[in-house]
Parts: sequence; C-alpha cells; structure tokens
Amino acid sequence: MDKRRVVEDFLRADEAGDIESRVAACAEEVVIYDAGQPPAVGRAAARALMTGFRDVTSRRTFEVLSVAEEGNVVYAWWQSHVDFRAGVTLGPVTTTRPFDVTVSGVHRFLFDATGHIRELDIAHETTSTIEGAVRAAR
Amino acid sequence: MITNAQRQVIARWYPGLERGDIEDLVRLFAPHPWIRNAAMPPMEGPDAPRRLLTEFFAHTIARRFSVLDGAAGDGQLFVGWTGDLTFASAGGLEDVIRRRSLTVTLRGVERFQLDDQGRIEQLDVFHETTSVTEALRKAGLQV
Repeated sequence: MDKRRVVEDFLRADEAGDIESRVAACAEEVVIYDAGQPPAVGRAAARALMTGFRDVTSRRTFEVLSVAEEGNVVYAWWQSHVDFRAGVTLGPVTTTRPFDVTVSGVHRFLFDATGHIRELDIAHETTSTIEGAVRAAR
Repeated sequence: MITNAQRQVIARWYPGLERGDIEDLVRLFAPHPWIRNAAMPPMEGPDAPRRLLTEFFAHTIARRFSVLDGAAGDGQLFVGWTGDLTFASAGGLEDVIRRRSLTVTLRGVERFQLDDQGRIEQLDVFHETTSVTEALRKAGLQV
C-alpha cells in the first residue's frame, strides 16, 4: 500500500469536498483529533466532522510542502487557504460576511495493518481563524 | 528514515523542555535559526531560541510531554506529541501558592529542519491555540 498516495488523495479529496472517499480511507474505529475539537471516534463521527467543515467553507486548498513516512506513520506538512462562508458560527462568533484564512499545519496519519487510517491528527494554530471570524462578524 | 542526529534532537528536546533547561536546549540550535511557535509571529536569528524558551518557561511551571512517534523525509523531521502544560498566572509566585495555576493537555506536532551538523535551523511548533486561551480565561488566569 502506497501510504503517500493515500495521504495525497486524502488532501485532494478534502479540497474537492469529497467526504465518502475520505471516510472509506478510515478504519471503523478511527479517531480524529482536529485542532482542539473533541476527538471524533468512528466513521460516523469522522463523516460528521468532515461534513461540518465542508459546509462552512466554500473553498479549501492544500499545498503539500513535505511528506515523511516511518513505518505505519505518515506526516504531511502543508499550507492551506480556506474560504469560509458568511453565517458561520465559530465559538462565540457568528460571521456576517465571508472571510478567508491561510494557515500552515501538519496532518499525522497512523495506519492500521490493513492500510486504513486508525488515527488522524490535524495540527495547526487556530487563532488566525478565530480572528478572521471576529472581523467578519463586525 | 530517522537519522542518528535527528534521534539525538528528539532525545534532548522534550526532556529539556520538561526540565526547563534553557542552556542545553539552546545548544541544539544552529547559529541563525528560524522559529515559528503556533500563532506567534516567526522569530529568526541567534537570540530566537532563547527568547522562545524564556517566554515558554516564564508562562509554565510544569511541562510533561509524551512523544507519539516521528517520521523523517524531504529533509524534515516531524514529531507528534501530547503535552500537559501547567500555566501559572502572571501574578507570579503568590498566585502559584494559592494554587492559581491550570494544567492543559495539548496535542501537537513539531517540525525540525537540521543543518549538516545536526543543529536545528528551522523549528515549527504546530498546535491549536484556542483551548489554552479559553481554559485560562475560564480559570481567571492571565498569562
């Protein structure tokens, strides 16, 4: 199994808003840790997490800067540009206009023996997004 | 494949953070490193590591890290971790005595780029930055 290919396909599917191919890449008992949100455990929770993010955004791009693989772990370092829709609620803030944010981060994929994603960490700072939402709520 | 030099950095970086050992940690860096800590503006230059670490140790009174795993490729080393960080109020020792401190658990990833002598020339610290702020706010702590 080409893990790098799985990782690159996963990020391309995120850009395309393709939920089901990403859910299919996950193990049944997948755990997703997405930047401070409560862990999403299992495929149904993964689908809900992915759907929630797709629905509040109109465009997502990932420029992959580097990929590193060691055994059953793959890290992908990226820079992402995301366009958020108007009417998005982030914490205490509900936006009235669209806004966009560029952040750098890392996905950490832990694969199981069958080549499915058992654990996914999405690590990035979240201050820029909150600040963008606050400006778009004024 | 993680090199011996990269393993050395992992073996010294996290224990050094736990001990608050600025001098040993500063020795891991190249002479003119570039550092970006989460949402903070990047720092660059000979003094950058000491500034980063001095600020981090001033805000935290205890630090515990568990390394999840790591991988190297494309000239980069990535290390995933979970950390229990105990923050103290800016009020200092008096507040600590009154137990005005708070421990927050974070997950994150560090990106190290080493030079040809095994020294850190680039460091990126990736972790979310809202739960710490929110937890400190709820606890009435300002750092």
